[in-house]
Amino acid sequence: MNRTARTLRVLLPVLALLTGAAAAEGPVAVEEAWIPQSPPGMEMMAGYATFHNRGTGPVTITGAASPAFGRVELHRTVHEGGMARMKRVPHLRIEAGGRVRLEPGGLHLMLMAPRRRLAPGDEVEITFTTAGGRGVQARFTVRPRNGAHHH
Amino acid sequence: MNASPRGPRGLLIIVLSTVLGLAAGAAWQWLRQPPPPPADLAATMFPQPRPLPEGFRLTDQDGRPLDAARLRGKWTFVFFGFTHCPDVCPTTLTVMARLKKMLAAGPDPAPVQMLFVSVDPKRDTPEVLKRYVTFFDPEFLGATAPMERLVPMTRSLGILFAYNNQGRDDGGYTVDHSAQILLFSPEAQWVAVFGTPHVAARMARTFRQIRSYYE
Repeated sequence: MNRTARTLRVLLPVLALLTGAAAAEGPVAVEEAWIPQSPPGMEMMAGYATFHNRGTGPVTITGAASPAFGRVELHRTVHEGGMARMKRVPHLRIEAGGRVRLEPGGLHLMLMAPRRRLAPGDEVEITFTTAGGRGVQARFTVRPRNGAHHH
Repeated sequence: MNASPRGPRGLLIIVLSTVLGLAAGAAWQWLRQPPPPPADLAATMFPQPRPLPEGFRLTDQDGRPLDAARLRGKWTFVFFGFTHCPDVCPTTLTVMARLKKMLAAGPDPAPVQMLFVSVDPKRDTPEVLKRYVTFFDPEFLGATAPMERLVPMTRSLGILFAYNNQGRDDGGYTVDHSAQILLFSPEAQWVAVFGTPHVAARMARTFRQIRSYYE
């Protein structure tokens, strides 16, 4: 057996492992994921982030869950009929190469029934389910509201 | 033959004096008019301040009555919402906290107070309101009123709200509500409405224009 073949025999499984790991991570990156610190005792919090689809096909987010909250939903604040309303967003499509921003006053995660008191610096795991995909894992950091995130 | 003053000449005098009188009246009206409100405002300003609605009697975060007397002597910014509101209310109250700091930092700081009125009195008791508003600023006021007084009072201020339990099977609900911020003068009169989106720097600039118009 020549040297090249032997090298390949060692390298191939490593390559397979690496590409496999990349595939498991999925095409969607969750960037700037944060939860504004909320007043004590509040049953309702919000989560903001940017979904970045680095893949070659669209990805649709169909749900979310977190061990830190009783319930997680995707909502959009809309202004209509002279009122601000929150509308549930059951499906959120992110085009290939596209970004979708969740930000104050617009798309946001509604984080209900927190299981513990969250303080700035705490990290929270949130898992998103995707249509026909393996889902997306993200880590959100609790931060004070007066931080850099305002217009 | 008939030299009565009701000849063509007399008629001319009557017409002329009527025209002159009307012109003088119009000029007088025009002079008496308040100057036009400043342009390019982040708010709708009323040329004439409006009185507080009849039922403006709230209970604050310490259980004390909050009525016209508590508005006198200060400019009061008022926002309506509910504490179980994850996005719009905390975002707006954060802007109001920033606005309050900006207005206090200026060369001629105005006496300003910020008031959050809950349209969810069932869940937002004074204790809950106190925990909530003081998180954004220790001096913020939080208040509400029983529904029978809250509904007509908010309607007269152009504020709408509606309970919404769509898609909730856990007994929970949210409240759709108007998101404008109202401004009351130190005479406890309603003078302006700030529409969304609320941006602190723009609101501060507009407030200074409104204040100099009124003072």
